[in-house]
Amino acid sequence: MKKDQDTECWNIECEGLENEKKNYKQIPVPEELRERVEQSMKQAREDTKQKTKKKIVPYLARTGAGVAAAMLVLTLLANMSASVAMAMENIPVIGVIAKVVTFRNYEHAKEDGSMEAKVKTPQVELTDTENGTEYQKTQDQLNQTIQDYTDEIIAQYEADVAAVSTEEMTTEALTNHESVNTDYEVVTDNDSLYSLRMNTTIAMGGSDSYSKIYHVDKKSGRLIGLKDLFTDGADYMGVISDNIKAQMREQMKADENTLYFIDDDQPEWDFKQIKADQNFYVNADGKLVLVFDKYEVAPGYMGMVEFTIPTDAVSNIVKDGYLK
Amino acid sequence: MQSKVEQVILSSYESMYRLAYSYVRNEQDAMDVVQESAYKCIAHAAEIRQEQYIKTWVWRIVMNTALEWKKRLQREVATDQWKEEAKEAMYTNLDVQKALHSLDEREQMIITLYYYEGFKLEEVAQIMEMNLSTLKSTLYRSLKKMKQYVE
Repeated sequence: MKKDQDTECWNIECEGLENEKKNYKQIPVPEELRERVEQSMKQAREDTKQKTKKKIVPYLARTGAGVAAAMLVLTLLANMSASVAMAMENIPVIGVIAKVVTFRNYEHAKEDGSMEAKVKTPQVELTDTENGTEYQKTQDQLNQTIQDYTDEIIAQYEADVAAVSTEEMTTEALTNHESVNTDYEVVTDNDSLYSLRMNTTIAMGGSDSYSKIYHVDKKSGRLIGLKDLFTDGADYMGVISDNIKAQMREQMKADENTLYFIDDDQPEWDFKQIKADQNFYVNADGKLVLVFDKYEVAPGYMGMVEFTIPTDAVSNIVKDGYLK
Repeated sequence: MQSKVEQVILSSYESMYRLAYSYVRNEQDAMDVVQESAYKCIAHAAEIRQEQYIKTWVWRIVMNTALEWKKRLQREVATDQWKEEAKEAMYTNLDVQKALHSLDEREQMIITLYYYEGFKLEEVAQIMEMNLSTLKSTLYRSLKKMKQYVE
């Protein structure tokens, strides 16, 4: 068995795996397989030679033309005004009202089904009778930030589409199936915060999911981040990280299928501390929830993970009015 | 290019069959997977630009076909029936086997390609379309998970 020098079974008991390999190698291969494989290849050669567009196997047809004409749908949805939206939903107007509508809905799919994208760009409208100008500024700032965010995702996707369509097509791109999906949801809308979460999933062989959460502080009318929830100079990163580590250990103890990057033989992978601008939201119970992208603190199969921080743990450093 | 791809397939169709079998768990489907992969490879062989990638390209097609096939099967076969079939497999080392099956499909695939089929890490990364460091950490995590499972 070949091993790279830098792996050497990663110091893990491999004997079982060796036996298992023997079993694997003993899986009997039916004699007729060779003939069937040869037949398939012959069929494929004939089909490609003919170059007729006759699709013998409909399933295979989907993987056909490498350079397929692309279909582009770009829809600009009529932008509802906040007042109309509020009237429709019959929301009493007290203080700040935030309303989100889908401003742009980008959809693209290649005919052969190999690449597709759905990217929604929301637009937020903030209204407040007392402090109109400040909110207008925040609103513009937020909407621009969101649009930049989705523009980047779309640009990256279009670059991938272009790369596959050109003569420069590499073998890497050939069997690529790329699917991009960006959507949004309002995760917090209470007296103090309005938070909009952008979720993006990119599937390309493997899949990656990440999110970005934007927060409007309803008191100041400004965009805020995690640090703004805490008193100046407080070690919120340390306090929250310690709590998360304790939760990780507890969950791993309770469920063997749960795995986080912590207390590892390879400490360089360990979760050490949250980022200063770690994604978060405040849930319906008024508790702080920290959000991690896929692969950030756990293996891929765990997906995106979230930790709810008991308010007790941060009660001496959190500013009033944000958490319960 | 077609004939070069053909050589790769003819020299490794038995390995491809084993890989497919470890996923779909029955002869007919495993053979179908290999056949379909062979068809796809030949039909698209002209699109390969760089010869050195033939092997990983072919295996990526096999892997994708096996995963697609299994998904289709799982939609058709009720879950308990599925488990029944898996039990009949010839494996003897139940702990390790169970541990392996506790991994997700891609993790299993990585272990299979690296340990059973003897691919280099770089090649596995190409087949799985992962970057090398992600692959290494996934592989390491998988082994660790298996180890925990066995203990």
